[in-house]
Order: sequence, then C-alpha cells, then structure tokens
Amino acid sequence: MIKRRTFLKVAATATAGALAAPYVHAESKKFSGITLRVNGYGGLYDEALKKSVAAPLEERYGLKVQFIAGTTSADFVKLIANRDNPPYDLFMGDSPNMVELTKAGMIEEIRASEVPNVKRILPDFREFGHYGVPFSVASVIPVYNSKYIKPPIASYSDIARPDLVGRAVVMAPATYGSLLTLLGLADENGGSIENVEPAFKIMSAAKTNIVALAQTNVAEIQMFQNEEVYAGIFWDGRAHELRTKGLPIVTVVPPKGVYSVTTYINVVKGNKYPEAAYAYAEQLLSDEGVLGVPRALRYGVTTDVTLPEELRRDLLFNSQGRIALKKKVDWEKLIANRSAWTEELNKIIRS
Amino acid sequence: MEEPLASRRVLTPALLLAPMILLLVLFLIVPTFGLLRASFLSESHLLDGSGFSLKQYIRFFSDSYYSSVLFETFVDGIIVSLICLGIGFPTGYSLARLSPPARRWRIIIVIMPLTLSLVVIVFGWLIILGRNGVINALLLSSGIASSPKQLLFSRPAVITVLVQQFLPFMILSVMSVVTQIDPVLEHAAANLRANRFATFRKVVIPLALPGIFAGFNLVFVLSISAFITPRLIGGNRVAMLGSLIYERIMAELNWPSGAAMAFILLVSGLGVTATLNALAASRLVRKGGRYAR
Repeated sequence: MIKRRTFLKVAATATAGALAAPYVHAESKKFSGITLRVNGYGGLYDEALKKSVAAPLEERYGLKVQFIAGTTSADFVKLIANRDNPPYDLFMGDSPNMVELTKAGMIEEIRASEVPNVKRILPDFREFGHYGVPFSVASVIPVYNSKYIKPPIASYSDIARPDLVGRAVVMAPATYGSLLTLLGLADENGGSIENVEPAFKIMSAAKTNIVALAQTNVAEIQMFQNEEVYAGIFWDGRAHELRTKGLPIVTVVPPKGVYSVTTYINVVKGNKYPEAAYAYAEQLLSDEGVLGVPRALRYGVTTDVTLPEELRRDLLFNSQGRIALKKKVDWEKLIANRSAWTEELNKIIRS
Repeated sequence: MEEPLASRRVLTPALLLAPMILLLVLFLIVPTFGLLRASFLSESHLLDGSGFSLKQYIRFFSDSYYSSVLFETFVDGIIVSLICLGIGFPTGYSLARLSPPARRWRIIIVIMPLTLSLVVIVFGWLIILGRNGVINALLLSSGIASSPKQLLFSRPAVITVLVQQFLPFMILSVMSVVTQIDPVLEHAAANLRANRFATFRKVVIPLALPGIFAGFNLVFVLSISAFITPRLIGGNRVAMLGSLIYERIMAELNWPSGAAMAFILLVSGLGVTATLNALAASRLVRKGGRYAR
C-alpha cells in the first residue's frame, strides 16, 4: 500500500517532468536545422575544433558547424568582398587579422552578457577590446635539433651564431611569424617596434646561416625532418609536432620575452544566426572547448582552465611565470610596418 | 534569298564566338581593368582605395631592387625556355615522325605531368633534391661527393623544376608543327646532297619555326609568371616577380602595389613576346620571299 506522502512526491515529480519535457526537448533542439559556417585552418586544427566544439554543440543543441578550410587572408578578402551576404557566420583569425577585421567593420562586439565564458579569459589575452574571443595562442620561438647543435641556442639572436652556417631556417617575409621574429630580434638588441634596425642587422649577419625562408609550416617541418636545417625560428606547436615525429627538437624560451599571436573567433556582422554563433563562442571557451587545440597541437590556452598534467608539461605558457614572458604587441603598428619590413627583409636575404 | 544567307554567314560565327567572348569579358577583361584601377591607388592597403596616383609605379622603377628582380625574372624565363627548346625539339620532332598509334602512348607520357597538381610536383622535387634525396644518394654512392650537397633553395634548382613543369608545352608545340612538314622535303634535300645537319638547319628548322616560337612564347610566359616553384623550391632566396606579387597581394594585402607589379610584368612580358614574334614573322617572310624568288 503506497503512503499518501510518497504518492504525492511521485505524482509531483511526474507532473513536473511531464510539464518540463517539452522545454528540455526544445532546449536540445534549440539550434536544430542551423549550420554555422566557419573559415577553417585545415588539417588537425579543424579536426580538434570539430571534436571539442562542434560535436558537443550538435549533441546538445542540434547545431551543425561547417569548417571551410582555406588561407585566412584569402578568406578575409572573400568576406569583405561579400559584405552584404557574408560567406561565413564566424570568422577565425589571428591577432594581425583582427586589425583588418575591426577596421573593415565586419565583426560584432562580444560581451559577457552574450558569452559568459568571456569572463574566464586571462588578462592581456583579449587585445581588441570587446572584439573577438581569443581561444588559442601560438608563439614564435627558437628551436634546434639537439643531435647536431651542441652549445644550446638560447635566444632569437642566436640564429646568427657562426656555427649555424647553411643550417638555419626562418619563416618567409610577410608572414606573421617573420614579423614577430623581427620584433624578438629587435627587442633583444636594444630595438623595438619603433626601431627594428637592430633586427635587420642580426638578419644580415645571419644571412649565410639561413638556407631558406619557409613559405609554409609544412615546408619548414619537412626541412627539419629531412635534416636540411638544424635550427630555426618556428611555432611552438609545430616544434612539438616535430618531437612527436621522433626528432630531438628543443624548444627555447627566450629570457627577454616571447612573441606570440592569439587566435580569435569572431561573430560576423549580418550573420543569420547570432545566438548560435554566441553558443559556439561559449563552448569554445569552456574547459572542453579551449583544451581541444592544445590537446591536438600543443598551442597555448587563453582562459583560466586547469591544464591536465600531460598538457602542462608540453605547453610553453604553462605557468604564471611563463605567461609573464608574453610580450605585448601593437598590432596596428605591426600591420602598418608590414610592407616596409617585408621589403627590407627580402632585400637583405636576396642581396 | 541571298540576303538571309549572307546574314547567316555573319551571324553564325558571331553566335559561336559569343560564349567565349562573354566568358573572357566577364572573367578576364573586367577583373583586369579592376586590377589596373587598383594599381593607380596611392594607398598601400586593400581597404583604403581612392584617388589616382602613379606612386606604385614610381616606387617600383625608382628602387633598383625591383628592377633587378624584373630583370632576373626575364633572364630565368629565357633560360628555362632555351633549355626546354633544347630538350623539347628533338623529342617533339621524333614524336612527329612516329606513326599515330606509336605516338599515342608517348604523348600520354609527355602530358602526364600536366595532370598532376603543381604542389604535388614541387613537394616531390623537395624530396628528390633534399639532402637525403635521390640525387644526393647517387652523388654519394658514385663517389662524386663525399657529403650531401645543398641542392635545394637555389636558382639552378628553380630552373630545373620549371623546365620539368613546362617542357610538355614545348614538345607539343614543336610536334604539332613538325607533323605538318612533309618528310618528302627532307628526302628531297638528301637527294640534293644535303647532309643531315644541312637538312636539319636549312629545311626542318625554318619550317618548324612557328612551332618553336609558339613553344618558346608559352614556356617563357609561364616561367616569368611562376610563383609556387620559386617560393617553395627557391625557399624565397630566388627572386622572381611572380612570388613578390603573390606576397604583396596575399600576405600583405597590399593590392595597389601588387597590381602595379602585375601590370609591369604583363606589359613587359607582352613586349618581349611581341618582339620575339615580330622577329620570327620577319624571318619567315624573308625566307618565304627567298623561296618565292
């Protein structure tokens, strides 16, 4: 015989469940039928985002995300050429792209009221006010093959060391990696973004060392793998990739500071599904989302997420002390100087 | 009855040509004018376009670096074209003299590289020319070299890869013209006691000139506009204008400067090919006149 109190409890729960069911169902189907288009970086990067961001969103809300792989500069041109009918709902871009995007007026501001996880972003990682949501950070650092390079490389400027003749690689002029390398060299030799002359002097001295200027990350990886080069300046995540391929590549943390580029997700102005786009940004900044890229590529995180031990070991920015080494960059000035610096670097290398 | 027939004679070719002309106007002429307009912008950014200025052109011609890159690009184009001619002429000639069934498979082999993606070809060459590549392995095993040589990221490497890429254009151009030369002419020259070299110099070469010039033009134009090969095989150390234009437009988003460089390359490239064609035409007319007498 069921007691009156038990009966009332069961009945109340059943009624509440019955009443809430349509809402729960509605929540799970909130973005059903919607597909967000995001410009992709291709390969492992997009795969990581699909796994850590797109898949949970689809499971939770029925929201689909389509990554369209391409090069960011070409995607950006596509975006501004189709201002009235943007080809992407979300636009992924690095810090330098953010200057162009904000200048072109193509992206929406994102505040904590729309994306609560924005509050979790570490200080100094959000470089453009309320524009863009930073979710990953890649650093340009000196790397070397410890099998061949014996006195360890310790700074960006060591690229000009005499024992590296014909054995070094740097990133091609006009790439962000190359521009950040110049800043690192300038900084180590008494220069700054206002005065990169010291960096050009080091590059002139390193000219005989530099075998090639890698056009792509794949090309630079191949140069290290084929032992065309033993030392160079590269992205931290890519150095880790080389280590996973069995190469004894050592990552150097320059003591005067590290130059990095942050990757942002942006909500494109005029997109049809702003709420779904904000949900994407929220998931991207969640623990699950923000650890997706580091798990696959060992690029740094931008939030207060607790790093699992295997990631903490490998990531460059794995402590407060390391994060303090991250140099602030005036991206607008960097973009303004890009042409002139690229031209000068080309002249030095090809002279 | 004659009037509709006459109008049909005019209309039919026009209608047949219309789709191609429309396509060219929409996707070549209009964008080209857009690029030409961009080259006269004074700003150095895609988003800042307004006004009219010769700044980009003045900057190009006032800096000796760019003039030297333009010069080197043309020199490389000529070297690649000459090497392709040296290798392509005998191949094209021998193919032309084969029976069509015997020629078929050989032509497929010649055009096979054109069916592959350029990036795949270039990465293949990166492996072949690398320190641990096939060429270095041969050099080491044959004792020619005692340690691996740095073959990549140099001008010879870029020229080698460009030759491999564009050789089929030379072979096919030469072959298509040589097939039109009646072998009887070569037999007649032999009957007149011309040796093989004299026949080749005085009969085959003059008659094959249109094919040679067509092939030369094609290879030259493709070489001077190359940008993937100089960037990846040259490791950015080999200066060619195509790769600078790519860098300006795609990496720096400096469309005005890139557009100006593109037009300088276009006009100077057309100038060189027009001069070559004029030379070829005058030579053919002279030969024709001599034979007419």
